Amino acid sequence: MAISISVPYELTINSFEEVRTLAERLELVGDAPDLLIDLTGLNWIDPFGTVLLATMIMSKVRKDIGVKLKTSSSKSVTGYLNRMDFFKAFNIDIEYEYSRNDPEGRFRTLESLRDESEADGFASDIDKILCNNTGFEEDVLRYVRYSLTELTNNIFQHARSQTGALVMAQKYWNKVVVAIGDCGVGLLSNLKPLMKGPLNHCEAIKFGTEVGVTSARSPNQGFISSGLTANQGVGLYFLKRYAEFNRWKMRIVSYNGDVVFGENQEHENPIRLVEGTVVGIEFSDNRKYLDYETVHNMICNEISSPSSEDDIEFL
Amino acid sequence: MRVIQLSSYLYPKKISVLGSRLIGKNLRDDIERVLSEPSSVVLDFSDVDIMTQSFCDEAIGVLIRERSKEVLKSIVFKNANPSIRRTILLVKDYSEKMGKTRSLRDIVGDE
Repeated sequence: MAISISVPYELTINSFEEVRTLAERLELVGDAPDLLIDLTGLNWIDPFGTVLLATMIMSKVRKDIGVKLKTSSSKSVTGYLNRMDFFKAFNIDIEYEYSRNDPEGRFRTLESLRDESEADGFASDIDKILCNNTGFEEDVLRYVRYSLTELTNNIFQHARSQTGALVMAQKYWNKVVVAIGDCGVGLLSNLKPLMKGPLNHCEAIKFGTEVGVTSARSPNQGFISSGLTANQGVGLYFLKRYAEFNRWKMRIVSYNGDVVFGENQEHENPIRLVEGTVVGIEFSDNRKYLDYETVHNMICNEISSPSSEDDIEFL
Repeated sequence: MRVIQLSSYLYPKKISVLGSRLIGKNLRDDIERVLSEPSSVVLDFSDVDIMTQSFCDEAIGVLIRERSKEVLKSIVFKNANPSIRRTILLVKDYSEKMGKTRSLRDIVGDE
């Protein structure tokens, strides 16, 4: 008989305690051969929560744990998840009246991207959501475009995920929440050879956003990258600094670790919530003082003091 | 002198970004093909708004680390906006210091 796990009331990029509660409930059931994920208590979920939940379920399925979902057709959250193709991702057919139309183009349903070549459409769709439905200034859009591209780069090069990446996005009022998840090896496993001292997943998440930290190195530097010659570990650093400058919320869950950047929130869960990594970013237009060119220049200066352009020919 | 239009490497295509490392590697391969002949290459950034560090590292940084900064004498960067110019300079600076064997983390530790 399947052991039931009740999903908390809310699962969003802002639900820190609820995610912790979910992890504690998972710990109680251990490695039960069959799980019933009870969604009837869930009332509010966003792309981050949806990708987190989907990655968690995929982690269980990959370990041959039988997973069933319990839903309530009377709840709007069931309709929402259905509309977002959550059930379709697990080949579950749910009879529910809902509209698939999204005339205003406010969301990107849950989808699995197999490789980097499929990320192009994803980034373009997010851009469409941003351009058509938000009042984001062009300068803020440049931050977003850079960040989205680096994020997808990072997922496909480091995760070593056999199931690709799960992606989803939605616009809420003046914000857009984007989530990307993978069933890969996680940041701690990737970065352990580079870290010193006692290690946990939260430390690895924070370490992974520092300059020059990467798991993918050229062969003569000890690590094997995914067919590419080099990777200098700057992409996530740019992402973190852009999030800080723009006051975006950025959250990374990787195995037991859960870190919300910019809010000093982190928690090492007693159990692997996901066997992989989920990154969520809440993009918003909070820019007050600094334009993209200035901030980009500042971040480049943080990485390396600018030298002369004398030996480069710019026309 | 051969001209390579960077707009043909845009990825994501619709948002004027040179972003993907995989595409950056394609550009590097194309540059190397041109440089294998006694020729120089012009990289024309017309219609490109953003170039990520990852793309630039894969396309230009690797060339500098493998061939030294002398390779830049054969490359001209045309119509690059200020942020793209700064990214090129960043990648040139650390690649020059790294050479073939050091990592960026070693360089950051030096400064």
